[in-house]
Amino acid sequence: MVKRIRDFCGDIKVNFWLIFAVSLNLAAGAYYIKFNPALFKSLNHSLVQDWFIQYGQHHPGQSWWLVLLFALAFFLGVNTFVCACKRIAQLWPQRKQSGFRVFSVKISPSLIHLCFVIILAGHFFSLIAVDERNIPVQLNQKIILSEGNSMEVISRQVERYTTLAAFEGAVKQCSVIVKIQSPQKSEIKELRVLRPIYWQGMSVHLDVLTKKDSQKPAAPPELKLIIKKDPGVALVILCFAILCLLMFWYFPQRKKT
Amino acid sequence: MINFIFQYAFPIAIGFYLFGLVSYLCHRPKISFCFFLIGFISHTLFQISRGLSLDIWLINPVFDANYFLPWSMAAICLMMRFFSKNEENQAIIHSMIIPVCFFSTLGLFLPRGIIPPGPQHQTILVSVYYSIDIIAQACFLLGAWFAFFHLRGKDQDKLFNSLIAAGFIFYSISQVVGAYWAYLGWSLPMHWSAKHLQSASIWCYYAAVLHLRYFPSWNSKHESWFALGGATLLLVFNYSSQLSAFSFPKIGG
Repeated sequence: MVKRIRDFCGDIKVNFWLIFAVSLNLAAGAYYIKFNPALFKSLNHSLVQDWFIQYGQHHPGQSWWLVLLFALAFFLGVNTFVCACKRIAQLWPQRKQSGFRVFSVKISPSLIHLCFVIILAGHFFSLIAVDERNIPVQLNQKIILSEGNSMEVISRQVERYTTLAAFEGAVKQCSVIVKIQSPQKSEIKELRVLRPIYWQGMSVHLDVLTKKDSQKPAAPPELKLIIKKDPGVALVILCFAILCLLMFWYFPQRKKT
Repeated sequence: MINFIFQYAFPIAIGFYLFGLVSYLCHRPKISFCFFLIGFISHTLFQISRGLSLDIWLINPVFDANYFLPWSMAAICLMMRFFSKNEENQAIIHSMIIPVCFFSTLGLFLPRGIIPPGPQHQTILVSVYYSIDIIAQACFLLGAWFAFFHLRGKDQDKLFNSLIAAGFIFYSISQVVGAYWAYLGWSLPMHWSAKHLQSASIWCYYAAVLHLRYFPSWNSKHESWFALGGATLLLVFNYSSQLSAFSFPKIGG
């Protein structure tokens, strides 16, 4: 019985249909988000379970795909992990006979799959455990952080296009100067859009609302601070980069061997 | 001069591509290639002029999907012409002028102006992301073109598989770069937005297609059908989002 379950979980046909189902499910999700943007907007800045309790459960016709996505992603993760482990277990005893190069080519797909499982896990942790606060930028406002730390915005700057006549007045870059205070010391740092501050396990991002109208010269852009602790993001980006490197190496090598 | 190229090089390129297409249909592959090459040079000048059209060098407009996609397809076509020695493949490669013409001509009807790069676009990651993403899309679409010929009993070397594998690698790289850019700019590597879910959907779809080879009972014809399905999905997603791009304020038309 256990063997049958293991074989089913590690079946590549099951894997194919699961990925295919995830793909279709994501396409359905894209459709629902496109036509219900107000409903899904808050999902980007809240825990998925909180969002579901507050909004999702009241709109089952628009949010069913999200529940299905989690279920499919879970089974895909289990299936991919079992497939990769089975293959590694098959290949490992042959590593001396086949030589390092052939062995590394053979084992690469399994490593790629393990990276994929870690990416899925990273996304999952980000969605269920991220600690995030969104605070509109106001000068001299003290923001209380955890463990006796605090942050204060002491100045803000908006840079606009001046040299390009065609873009004149449009917002080019925004930045704020913040004073970060911990019980031991205080630091002054510059925070810009695209250049977050990393501090004591937190990341602080500056976001600017770029509505179509905000590119007009008269309108001052709305800025907000995003303060977050995301346990999954580093895993996602790092493992995705490793996955790409492995694929970039593997596909040409597969042809040669 | 730059303005002149910006305004006219693209229609001129399309003109030459169309002459090339007519020559191809009249079974004149060498003349077709000459027109195609001149069209490609004109198209390249247009792509560069997009970066210079506002008197300073801006790299982001060079990689606008409407124009960079047919350029990438044409570039891949030229590379394949150069490297492929197989007569039968050469015949399919000559026919690649048809999708190049189609996507270039489509570009004529889409907005050609330049969107002012806002604060979240002041990074090289934007250009890296779009350029690699569009090259991947070009590989997927041309993969579907070869798959179509495979279904008709040609492309026995299954070049469509290689194009899809290359497209998948490029697409994965673009997803990493895009995730990093989204994280820096918006604090999220993946948004719950239609664009991000569509990208993830395409990535999963092609990941599934690459796994098809491990089905003993399925053959390359099945893979070809899936390659054609992927291209359809890609086009639906791409051009549905292009429609919303009409509403963005652009400079230069």
